[in-house]
This record gives sequence, structure tokens and C-alpha cells, in this order.
Amino acid sequence: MRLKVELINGVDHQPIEGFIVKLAQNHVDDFVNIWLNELRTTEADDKFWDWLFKLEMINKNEEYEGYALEAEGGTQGFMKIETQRHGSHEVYGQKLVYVEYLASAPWNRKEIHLIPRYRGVGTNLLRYARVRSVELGYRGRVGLHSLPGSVKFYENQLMENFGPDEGNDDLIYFEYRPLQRL
Amino acid sequence: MEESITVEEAIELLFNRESLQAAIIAEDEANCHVSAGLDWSGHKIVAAFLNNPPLLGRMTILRLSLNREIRQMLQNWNLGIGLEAAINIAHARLLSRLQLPSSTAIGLLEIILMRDELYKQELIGDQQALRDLLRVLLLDSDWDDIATAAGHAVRSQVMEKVSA
Repeated sequence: MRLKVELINGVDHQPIEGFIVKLAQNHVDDFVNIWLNELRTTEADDKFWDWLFKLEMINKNEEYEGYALEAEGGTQGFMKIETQRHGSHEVYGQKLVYVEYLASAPWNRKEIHLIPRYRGVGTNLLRYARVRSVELGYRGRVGLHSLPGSVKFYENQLMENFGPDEGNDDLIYFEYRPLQRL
Repeated sequence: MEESITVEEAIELLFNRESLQAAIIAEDEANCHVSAGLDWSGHKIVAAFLNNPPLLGRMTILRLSLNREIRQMLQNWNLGIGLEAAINIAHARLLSRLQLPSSTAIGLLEIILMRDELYKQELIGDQQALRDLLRVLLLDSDWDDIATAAGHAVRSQVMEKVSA
């Protein structure tokens, strides 16, 4: 699986080519060897995310899938989804793709770098989750719990805000409704 | 009923340049980083079940079920204005006990996580199993904290009414 996507260069605003691919060891290596130092320095929320462990879980369990966004020879973002157990908060009994983890590389984040290197990493990965939802017969429904610093992003991506989920540390639950033809 | 959208149509809708550019601009305007999800990584519970990822995968269901169960317990205890404060502290204590469980609790957690029949639905329905686990996970000091939080909420309400 290899889907060609487009990012925006943060400096010259020109489009650049990227690819969403299945999560593999080389992406985890990038996380350990490149991302972690910067995440530790900035004390970002996700500094303890253990992608090596996630890769192992993904490899051992069919319900989990992991994806990475590659561009310019490096890993620009990660996403882990769960495809069997989660249901819609809007329509009882409807399955959806649940985004368990989503993260962009530290150099692509505005709160760390005034001018992010690449824009659109999170957007592309989130959109790919919708494609998988369609592939699985869930019609594009996608759900996730947002970390506190990311709420505005999901609102801007037109996901429905279901408010704080008291059973999930009061993180805000968001959901995409089925994808419609224009 | 409208025919379901195809994968090819979905890719065209979501990844065409115009749509994607608009979404990236929306991402810029949000002016925040993009992330989602809770994590158990870095905690003792991960180390305990590292060799058995399916069990760890059930931890989220178990935790959500325990959160719901303790809320229902507290709701039945007639705590009035102190209820929400009690629930908040109960959820916080529960999370910390799940992240750093005692060796006794790890044994019981493992037994419950291995019971396949409990994980057929989104949340666990066996209340007795959940309550047995809550008794082991939460210590006397945790229940004391829950009671104190409820008591403080009642006191705040009284003082607020008096000074109004």
C-alpha cells in the first residue's frame, strides 16, 4: 500500500510529494533516533509514545493498523487505527475506524517551530483514515479523542464535536459522519 | 438508501488538490499541533503485559468499563452536590492505580483481561467482575480521597449560599 499525497513546504509554500505507507521498522527508527530528542526537549504531550511497542501490537493484531507519512526521505507523521471494536457515538451499532494515535514530526509543529517544515501531515493522515473507513464498509465514519492542544484542528476539519468523554479522561470526542458524494 | 461511496471516489474527494489545500489552510488556522489518543506507554502496566499485546489492547475497554461502573456506584450513594467531585477524583485515582497496579492487582487484571466473553461488546457488562476489581485496585486512601472531595463540594456549596 502506497498512496501519493501532497504536503506544503512551510518556507516557500510550494507543494511537495509525500506517500502514506504501512508503518514499518524504518519509521520507528526515525521516531527513536530523530523525533524523540526534540520531543524530550520541548516536553510535548507525546514524548513517551512508544512506537516500537505499537508496531509490535499492529503486527500481532489484525484489528490494528499503522501508517506513516513519508516525504523528502524522512518520516513526517504516524497514525495508528483500530478497525473492529469501536462504534459511532452518533448512530448506535455503526462501526467506525477509531484513530488511536496520530502525531506529526516535531519540526512540522507550530508550537515547536515558528515556521513548520511541512504543512498538511495531520490532515493527510486523518483523510486516509476516512479512506480506510470506506474500504472497510464503514462509509467514512472515523472517531477519535483529541489531546487538549489539538481540539481546534479537529473542529476546523469539520469533525463533529461530541464534548468531553468522562470515561476517557475528559478528552474531547470527535467523529466524522459518512462521506457523501458532492 | 444512497449507494455507498467507493474507495476511488473517496480518494478523489479527499485528496484532490482543491479539497486538500482547503483542509491544509484550516489546519494552519487552527494554529495547534495535531495529535490524538491516550497512551499506556511508559507505565508499569505496559511492562507487565508487554509480551501479550492482546491483553494490553483490552485495557482500554476495561478502563472505560471501570469508569462507568464507579460512576454508577457513586450515583447510587446519594452524594448530592458532592457527586461530580467524587466521580472526578475516583476516575483520577482509578487511572493512577491502573497505570501502577500492585502485584496483587496485576494478577487479577490478567485474569479479567483473559476472559474472552467480557470483550464481545464495546463495554464490559459483568458488574460483579468490575466491582471485584475495583475493590482490589482502589485502596482505602483512595476512597478517603473520594469522600473528602465530595465533602469539600458540599462545604463549598454551603459557604457559597451563606455568603450570597
